[in-house]
Amino acid sequence: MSFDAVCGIILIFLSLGLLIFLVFRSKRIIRLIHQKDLHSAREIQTKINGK
Amino acid sequence: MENKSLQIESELSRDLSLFHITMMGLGMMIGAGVFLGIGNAIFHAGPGGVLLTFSLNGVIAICTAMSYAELSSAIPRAGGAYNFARLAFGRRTSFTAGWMEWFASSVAGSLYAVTFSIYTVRYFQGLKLLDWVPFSIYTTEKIVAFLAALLFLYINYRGASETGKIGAFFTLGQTIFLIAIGLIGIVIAFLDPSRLQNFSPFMPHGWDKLLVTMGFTYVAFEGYEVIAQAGDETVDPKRNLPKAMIYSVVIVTLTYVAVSFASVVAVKAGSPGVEGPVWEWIGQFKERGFGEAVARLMPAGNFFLTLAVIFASISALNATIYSATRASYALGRDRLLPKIFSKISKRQKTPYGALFFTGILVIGVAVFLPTMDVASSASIMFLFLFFLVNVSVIRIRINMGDELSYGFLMPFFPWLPLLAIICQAVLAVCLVHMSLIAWIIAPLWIILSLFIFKFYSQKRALPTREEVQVIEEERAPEAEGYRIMVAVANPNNAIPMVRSTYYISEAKKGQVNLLHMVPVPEQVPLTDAKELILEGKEAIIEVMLHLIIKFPITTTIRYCRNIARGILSAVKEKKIQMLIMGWEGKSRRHSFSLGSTLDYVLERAHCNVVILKDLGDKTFKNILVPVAGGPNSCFALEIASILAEKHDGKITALSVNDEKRKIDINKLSMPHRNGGCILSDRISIKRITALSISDAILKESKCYDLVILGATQDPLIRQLTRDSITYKVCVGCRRPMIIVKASAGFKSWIRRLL
Repeated sequence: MSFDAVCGIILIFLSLGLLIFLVFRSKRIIRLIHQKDLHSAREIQTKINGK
Repeated sequence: MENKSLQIESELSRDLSLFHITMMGLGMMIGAGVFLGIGNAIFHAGPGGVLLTFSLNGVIAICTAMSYAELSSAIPRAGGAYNFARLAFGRRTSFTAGWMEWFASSVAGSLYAVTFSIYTVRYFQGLKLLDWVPFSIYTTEKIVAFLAALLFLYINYRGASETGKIGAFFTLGQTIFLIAIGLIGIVIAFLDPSRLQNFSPFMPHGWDKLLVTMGFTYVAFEGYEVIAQAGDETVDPKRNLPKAMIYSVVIVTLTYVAVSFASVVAVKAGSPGVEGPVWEWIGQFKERGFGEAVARLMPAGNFFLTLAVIFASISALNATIYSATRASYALGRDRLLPKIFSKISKRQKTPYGALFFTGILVIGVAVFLPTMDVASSASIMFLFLFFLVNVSVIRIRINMGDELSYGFLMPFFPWLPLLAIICQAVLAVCLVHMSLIAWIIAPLWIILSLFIFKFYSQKRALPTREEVQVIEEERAPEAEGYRIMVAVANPNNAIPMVRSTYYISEAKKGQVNLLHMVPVPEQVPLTDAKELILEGKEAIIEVMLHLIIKFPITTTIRYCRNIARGILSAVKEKKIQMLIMGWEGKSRRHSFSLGSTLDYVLERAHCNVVILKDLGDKTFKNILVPVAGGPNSCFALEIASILAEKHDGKITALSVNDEKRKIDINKLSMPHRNGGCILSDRISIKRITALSISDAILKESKCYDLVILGATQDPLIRQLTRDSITYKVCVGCRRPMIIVKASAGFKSWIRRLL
């Protein structure tokens, strides 16, 4: 397998992995916002950071 | 002034579910782009390049989808990018955004109508079912395109629910078909692993061709705009809009990658008719490459493919008409275009005026103009639009994050929109290789929008709540010399505040302007605030009459929706050099350090800021100034010097954990750029070592009359975690306190942001 193929396959899986990760992260944020009834960016950011 | 007779009644029915809007987004994405793009992408970038093209485009698309999701959840109204740009940049830019959006969506609709007609007519022609038609193929295609556009204009007129449901039906059909192709491809590769050899060489033309293929296939990811447009009609928009945008991007990306994989493994090397490498054989067909590959993947592949393209074109046509109509409706609603654009059908509850003009644009372009170059300009405009949205999300989060109510907040802010901005700029440049005419049409259309705004929209636009911050002010005489403003929240605290700050103004030889902000509820028009909001006004006039005898001050009363933004606008307008505010000692809301107003002002004010806590009428003989060597330390020492001089006091500069003795009072005492004066003869430095800096300062503060502390210099993003030393000292200190922040210009702003 060529170097291009190895790099390309890694890049494809990284991209798809990043997509899936962002989806789950976003779902968690949406759930948190609606469960805790958060509104402003600062409130949400504070909760996400676990403070 | 808002004239009620000019207000436009507008109402839209709210009946689109998460499923419907996700399908609308998918419908706009899975249009002609992917069917025509796969063969071309294989031709230019090779078998591995086509997989990379769609997976990397998916990453860029989700970054912009996150921006759309965040903004749509905070501003869930019809208008999409137009509304976001209005909030971020004001009328002119937002008009251009809406204008571009209307054009791009309409012309994309024309392209889909023509694609539908081409595939349908040619398929029926192949079956010899059109022999009786007296027109040429070209004319027949144009007639079918006209009828298709007309049909979907009517469906859109029937109402949002019908639009979403019919679109959802077609989209579901095409998505299932594409997923089936992808799955069959994976199964075939599993059963016959030798087909994986088709991926060798992986990138025959090198990596540079990848950008070109990403550029012309990006049109297959432009679907979140139509979801944003559905904000007025979606059930629970704050939750459903962001979900639909993110889901649709992920579904299409996975589908495209699977379908591209299937296209490459569909053809067996060395099979009849296939000469040379498989990727070259598929690539030679270019637009038809995907169809030729799929025809070998399954029986009756051509029939199913034609069916899928028809489904895809129809749902994309439906979605683009919907999106274009909503964009022009929003412009009409705000009177940036004539009132007829915002007319709503009483029976169907749909914007028939906007639909009519969108129809003219869609049909006109589909029937009379060459579509490919105009479609390229639509792509460029979409990219410009996304660029604007990504900039808007950053600006709105920084400037209005505390005021808006978000249903979704993107992670990794601001890196995701910044990444999208850079990547989309590169893709837009790459489109030059596809159509030079597009790079002429797109700027011309934008210039036309500037003319329309200047000569029509500017005079007629309705004022909106977001635009009006402060409209009424009792102006004081212009101050000369060093300009100090004291913002008084509670008139009862004005006298002790002004007394304390008068020393500062005396030392700076400046003028003090007393500012009182009167917040006006949303229900009261700001134009009526002066008559209705009397309480604050009377109190401040009393204070003014009392103080003006003792101190040379001027006063200003400003009416606003948001106090913090009102203060900042006053600072900017009056070119204030020092802003003084009071702090009661605790934040009412957990998410703020000093309070919603003080945090906002400290983060954004471009002047020196001084915040006083419990100063009252006391004298300060022993002043503690924790120093770290930055501009805030200098400013804190300067304020300490002024107060020490007045009360004949001493200053202790406290340095914690400065083992290398970097902090030098003589250097700090040099006249800094604010022109202040630090009295080094009154200052003694004390160096201590401690595990916790904040605990050490708090312990030391018990021996002093006053603590003067520099505001945190942590980056803005890190401040949100609320663990700064300044915050801990502010909350824990029981002594009178002054918190200062020195103006450090643009470099400081960038450093704080990042």
